[in-house]
Amino acid sequence: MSAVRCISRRMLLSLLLTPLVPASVAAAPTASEVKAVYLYNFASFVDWPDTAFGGSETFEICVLRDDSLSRALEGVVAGESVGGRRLVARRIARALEAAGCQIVFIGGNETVGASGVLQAVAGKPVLTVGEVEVFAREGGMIRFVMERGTVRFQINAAAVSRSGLVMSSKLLQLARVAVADD
Amino acid sequence: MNRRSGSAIGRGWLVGLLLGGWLAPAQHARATDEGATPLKRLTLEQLMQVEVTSPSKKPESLLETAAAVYVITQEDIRRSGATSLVEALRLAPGVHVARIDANTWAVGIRGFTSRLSRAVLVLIDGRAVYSPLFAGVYWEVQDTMLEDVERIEVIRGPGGTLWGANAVNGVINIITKGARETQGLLATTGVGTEERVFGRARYGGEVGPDLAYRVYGKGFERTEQSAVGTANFDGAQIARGGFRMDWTPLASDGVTLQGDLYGGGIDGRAAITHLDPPGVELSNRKTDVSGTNLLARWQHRYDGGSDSSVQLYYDRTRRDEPTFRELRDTLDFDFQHHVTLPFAQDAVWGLGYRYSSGDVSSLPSLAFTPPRRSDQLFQAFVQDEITLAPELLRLTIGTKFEHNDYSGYELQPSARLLLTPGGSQVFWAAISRPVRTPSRVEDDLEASGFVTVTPLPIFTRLIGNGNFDSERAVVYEAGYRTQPLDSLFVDVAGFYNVYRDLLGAKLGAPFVEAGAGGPRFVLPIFLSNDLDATVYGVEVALDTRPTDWWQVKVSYSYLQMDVRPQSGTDLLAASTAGSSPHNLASLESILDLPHGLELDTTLRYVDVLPNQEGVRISNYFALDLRLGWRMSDRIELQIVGQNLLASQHPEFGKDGPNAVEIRRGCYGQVTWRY
Repeated sequence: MSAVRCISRRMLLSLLLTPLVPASVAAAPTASEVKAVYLYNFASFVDWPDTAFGGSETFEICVLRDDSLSRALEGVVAGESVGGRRLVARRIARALEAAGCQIVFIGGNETVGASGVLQAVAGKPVLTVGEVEVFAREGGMIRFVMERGTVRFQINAAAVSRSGLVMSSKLLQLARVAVADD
Repeated sequence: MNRRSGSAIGRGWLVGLLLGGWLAPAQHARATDEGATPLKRLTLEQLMQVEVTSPSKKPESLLETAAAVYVITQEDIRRSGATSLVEALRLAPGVHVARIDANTWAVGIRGFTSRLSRAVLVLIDGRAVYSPLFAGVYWEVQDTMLEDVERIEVIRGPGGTLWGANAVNGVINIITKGARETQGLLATTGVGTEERVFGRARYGGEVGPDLAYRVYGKGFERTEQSAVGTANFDGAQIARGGFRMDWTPLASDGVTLQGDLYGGGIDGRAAITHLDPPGVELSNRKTDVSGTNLLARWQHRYDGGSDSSVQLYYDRTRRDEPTFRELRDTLDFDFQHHVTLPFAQDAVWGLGYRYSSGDVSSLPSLAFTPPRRSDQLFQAFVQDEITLAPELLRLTIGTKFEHNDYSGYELQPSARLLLTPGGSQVFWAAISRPVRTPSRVEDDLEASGFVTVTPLPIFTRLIGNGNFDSERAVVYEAGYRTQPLDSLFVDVAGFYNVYRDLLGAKLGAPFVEAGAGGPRFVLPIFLSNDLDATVYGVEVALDTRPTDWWQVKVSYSYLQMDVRPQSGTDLLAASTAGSSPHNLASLESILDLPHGLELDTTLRYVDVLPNQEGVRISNYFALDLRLGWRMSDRIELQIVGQNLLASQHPEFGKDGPNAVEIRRGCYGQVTWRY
């Protein structure tokens, strides 16, 4: 029995019988998708020194332990570039791999993992982005926070300046709370 | 701004949302080329106003789990063409799904395939659907709006420490999307040779900024599969509806309320034994099924990264078979607290209570004594993840304590070790001691089977055992995962399980008893904890994306079961071992063609099932094809052909007049989204 034959007449009937439905609003994006777009935007709102790239032609945004963000990010950066460098989304499995990244996102509430990454990239021009509360206090630069169903971010300005990165004033203005460093 | 921005970016986002799962990167990439990633066009200020769906609790990367976990995503389900939850389980490696007839399935993980999947725990949004009457899951009534399933987590191996008893060989955790992720209208309808006509619709909306909801309804008429040598008898009609509400009054708190209601009739053929006058009646009679459930869950996130959840549900199922009728009410309470502790520890602990009351009325030949029985289950668990070496070695230890009315106190400890040496490689190993606790079928049942009338009426009688104890296992597992390339993921797991005190059945000394119509001769068969077993095997899964538009998944599993009676001979030894295949393999190709066309191919191989109560099922290959066409963001068509290689084939054993083979089938469907 062929697949084509079996949809023939009954299929048409069911098409006709289904009532017309009104248009309405569509679904909201997930937090991961919004965070992915933030990471993509950060690439334009922060200046990296040329030394940060070590001769590489790509701009790497790395994600540790967050598969859904990784997937969303791969879609967001595909075909995009910043400052003439092709944007690349990369999943990493451990802290040491973070050294070659320009932006590194540390997922989940893995406080231990966060401090490991922060140590691995300390003093290097790597923008660190995380979610856990202690992240900023440990020297992380940008922390995503959920606020009434929206994703906002906090900035630890002192940690940013120590790294040699220059952040646009707009980004600093928009940050929810500019966290003071310890 | 605020809410409006959510809908302003609506339509394009629909595309993104449809494309969850492993395939997403490829699809997103294409969407970008077409300029359809609207979030990217928003300014930072606008982005800050976009309302998002809440992420799942304690997200744990698939790569870094010290267990054999496989996740079937919404996209996987959509591309498979599966029309029911149980059929979607065929996508998971090492899971043996065998369709017995149009409406019954046998599912096995790491062996022990059976009609009700005795040693596998199944949860739908945190609600256990394991029936304590016959011990297992009635797959034919476990269903929901397939498009609203976010993912199905399939854990091969024990999950008893976290999930509780009966998760000896696996856990199947079906998770639906939050109401905020299912906004708008979705309607699907189709016709086919097996699923003769089906339709489902869901509408999701919002009441204010903090409260989202959805309602759904679905129904189908399923035609018969092919009975062997007799008229077909196994059609079904089932209708179902439900709702879900998600309320997030604060960023730290979420409340979910959801419920379902279903009812229908399933045709089948029953061999009904009559004691007086003695005889067996072969009857085509409908089984009426219905059920309803209501679940409430409150999740709270504390400052500092810990969180807790409280869940309460009520579930009522009614099943009216030709030989028995059961009405069961279950009330379940669960509390869970996840907290980070000093010295790099991550702990979860919880408490649970379940009250389950079943009222059975049945023919004299299938007696449950007492007919009405209420049972209580108390449980507590604790699990701690300790980082032994940062970024390298983690140890997870935990145990569950429970008390049930059949076997008393049970302890289910486990220890898991995760090694992450870097380079996208993960090694893990685990040892666990899960149990399957007894249920009414082993404890309270007396089931007679008619043999002959001369010279005296002779019956066999399966007799439950009030002393039936839990089935026990010690499970050793190890696994390796690696992602050597962005486009290649490899997952290998091996296991060695030692079982003690599995369900067996022994022939006892015949006796004569007085019946209303005169004396009869009874051959008793006593259920007992009589079998021991050693089961080992290996499962390999490969997921590769050679290009943006093509994904290939390969899986293979090998299984060896040795089942031994503790003494003498046992009537169930051969069929316990003989109902699972040694070799299972599948090859899936998921191909995106130009103009929104999708061509998906699945080839499955299932090895011989050597013996199920004397029936041998031959090995078979099965081929499914799906051609999908996304005409627009709103309309999608698909034609699916299933089991295309043979006009019909058996997948699981049934003997004599009940034997059914599964037919080649196809269906077409159209889906609208607004």
